[in-house]
Amino acid sequence: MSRFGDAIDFLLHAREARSGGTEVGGAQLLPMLWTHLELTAVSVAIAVAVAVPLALWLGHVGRGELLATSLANVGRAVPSLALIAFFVAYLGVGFTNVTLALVLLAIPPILTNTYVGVRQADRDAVDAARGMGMTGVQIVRRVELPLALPLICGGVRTSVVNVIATATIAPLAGVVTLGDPIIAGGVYGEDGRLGAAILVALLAVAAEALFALVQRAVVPRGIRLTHTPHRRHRTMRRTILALLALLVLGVAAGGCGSDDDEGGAAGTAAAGATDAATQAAASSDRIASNPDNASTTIVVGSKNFTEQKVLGEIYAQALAAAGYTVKTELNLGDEKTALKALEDGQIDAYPEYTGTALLSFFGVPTDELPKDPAAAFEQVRTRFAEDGITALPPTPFTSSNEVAVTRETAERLGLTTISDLADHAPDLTLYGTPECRQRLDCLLGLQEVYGLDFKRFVPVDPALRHEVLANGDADVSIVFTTDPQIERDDEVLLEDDQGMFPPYNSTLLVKTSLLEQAGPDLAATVEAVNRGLTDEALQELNARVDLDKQTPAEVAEAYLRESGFIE
Amino acid sequence: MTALVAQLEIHDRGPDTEQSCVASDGFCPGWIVDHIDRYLHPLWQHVYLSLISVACGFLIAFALAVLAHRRRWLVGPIVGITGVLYTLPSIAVFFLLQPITGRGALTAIIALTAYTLLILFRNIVAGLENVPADAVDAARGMGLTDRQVLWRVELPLAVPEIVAGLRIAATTTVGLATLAFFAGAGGLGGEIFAQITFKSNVVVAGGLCLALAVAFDVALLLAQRLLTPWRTAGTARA
Repeated sequence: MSRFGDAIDFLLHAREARSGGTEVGGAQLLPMLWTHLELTAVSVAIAVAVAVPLALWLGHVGRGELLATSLANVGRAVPSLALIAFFVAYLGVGFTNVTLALVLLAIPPILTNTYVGVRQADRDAVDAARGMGMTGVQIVRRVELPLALPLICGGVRTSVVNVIATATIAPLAGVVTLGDPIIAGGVYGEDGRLGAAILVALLAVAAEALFALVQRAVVPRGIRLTHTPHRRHRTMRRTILALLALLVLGVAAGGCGSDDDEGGAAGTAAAGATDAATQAAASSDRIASNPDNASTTIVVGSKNFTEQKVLGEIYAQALAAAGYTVKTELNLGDEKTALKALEDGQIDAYPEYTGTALLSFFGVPTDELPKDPAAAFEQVRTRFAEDGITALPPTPFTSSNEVAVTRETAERLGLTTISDLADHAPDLTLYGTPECRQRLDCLLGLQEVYGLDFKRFVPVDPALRHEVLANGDADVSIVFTTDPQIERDDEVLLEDDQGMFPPYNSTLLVKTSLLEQAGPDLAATVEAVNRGLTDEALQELNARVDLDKQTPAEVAEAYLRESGFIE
Repeated sequence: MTALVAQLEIHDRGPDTEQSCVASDGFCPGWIVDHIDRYLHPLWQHVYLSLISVACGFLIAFALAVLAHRRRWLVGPIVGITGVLYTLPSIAVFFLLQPITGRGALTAIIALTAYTLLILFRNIVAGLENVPADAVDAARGMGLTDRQVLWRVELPLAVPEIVAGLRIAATTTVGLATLAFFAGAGGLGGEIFAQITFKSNVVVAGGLCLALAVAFDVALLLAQRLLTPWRTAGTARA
């Protein structure tokens, strides 16, 4: 239960991000909370402005019953994720697009409730009003609307709660709401993820309670007697009691203290598998299945972008071909999340880039970064060995972060190097992954090494890194060297003239204890398949996923087959 | 040292139309037809998650409703508690449960089940409440016990409202199950998320969700017809 305590602590106190650099949690959550509320308020306000007049009119003239009722049913069935995804795919990311999607989500309950409210308005009251000589507009304004108001509020209440829930996935579309710690995970840690989930839950319950009060308050005095106020009272009280219970539970969980058991010092490293590896690889390219390996289970993980998933699949399938029992846990998240999963034993291995390890894990300052791939790997290997993790020999390919602009931007501003951005950065918007903010090979480095001060930084899911350039949301985006979209979209990569990026060869990180248990075939297999992973090969493999839309599993199998590792 | 026997084939991605439709993330009917099979497993996971969750939710809500039907004072507290469960955003619950139940289908099913309770409970209770008092009195007059009255008279007459609740619960659950992949339970949402910029993918995966919701809805309507033959007979005569 202490995890809930830590999560509450995250909400109350700011702390250093897991990757160092900035602070997260506590007061740092306020801008996200604000965006969350702003997004909700704007979307529901627009929905009310559209749906209420329309439904009042439909209800008044008694038309469109089918529309009003079936809209509610269809609205319920449309998955919010699909709706957001649809807007991202067709219109791009950003506040406006997400707002539009949420407006669509918010309209059905309001429209249906308003319509039903008007239709259910006491016909005698309406007839009396007409008899008194009221015009249509007067009847709507003075009779039907007041009588329908409680139901309209009920519809708004449903919409607000729905929109608060759905705004949680808005970070997928580049809007940083309280969902960011939940979806981006890594930077904020597990406490942040859980803390944000608690906050979103409380927000929804609070909104529900607030609107229940409003709904009670707007019941016209004339018809209040016909309702049974004491029952509403009790429901209200129960909701508040339940809310309090939830809080108490949280605080109690927090009081349970922090009995974290930090993983003890792991055994010393021993990496003697490399000799066996070269021997095995020399004999044949075909991976031989060794029945002795079946007793070893290896869980292969990966981070959350195409190249990582492909690499993860390649290792998983190759090791399976060598006879190991293999499971995969691909798409874990950013580098911190993946490393934590490895340290915690959730996975046994995952591919990491030497440059990422040097900068994000070991905090090597820019002026001490090795330029030579072998030196970079050696440094990474030595550092990891201390933690009971073995870095297997790296791939030939290197895939670095790159600073990309469209050709149009490059030509307009005369950009060829990152330093050229200096004069223009205050007018430019940079897009990158959420962890970019804390990475020396990303926003942090651009600020500290190049002294760039961008107008705005917008965090997005790595899947959108080219999309945001193409549709004009981003002026500058952080991409990867081996991305096939660079050629497709005719993007220009700015040269790293200050040497901010170290070499980024990929090395499979394996728990040393597992490596010893698994025998020589593990390292030998990995080394064998690594040899074909050149710059050219990775561009091709990424292109098969990102351009041809094959799955990482299919692409990995094709690589192993075409290279002769499996039949 | 041996060199690699075979090499990875580097494809030439010329500007031919079908290829560039897919490469530029377009909506490509040809691609959809060729790749529909990749959605079958996630679709099955989605069906599984939705069915189990609604079924569990129904069993729990049904038991609670029958209990509360005889002990009216229970209705308020049950609505209060299930109301809070209903209000909690499911994406938050998926993560709140993970420290306790871990990642996987179980976590997703618990969250989705909790979400259905309010809808189902309210409808079952309303259905039982709206049974004409005459029918119940007549049954009692014939000497039926409480239990017999419930199973032979009240429940059959409440079927339309119970099914109405099930229909709302089913469509809502299918929609929410798109977020179940956050709990590590797969489903069509995982496919949407995997290639969120690829229009064909978003349209197919999203479309399958909608189709599934409609299919559940129609199935429940048909079930209602089969369960209440007297209603169709009545309307036929009228």
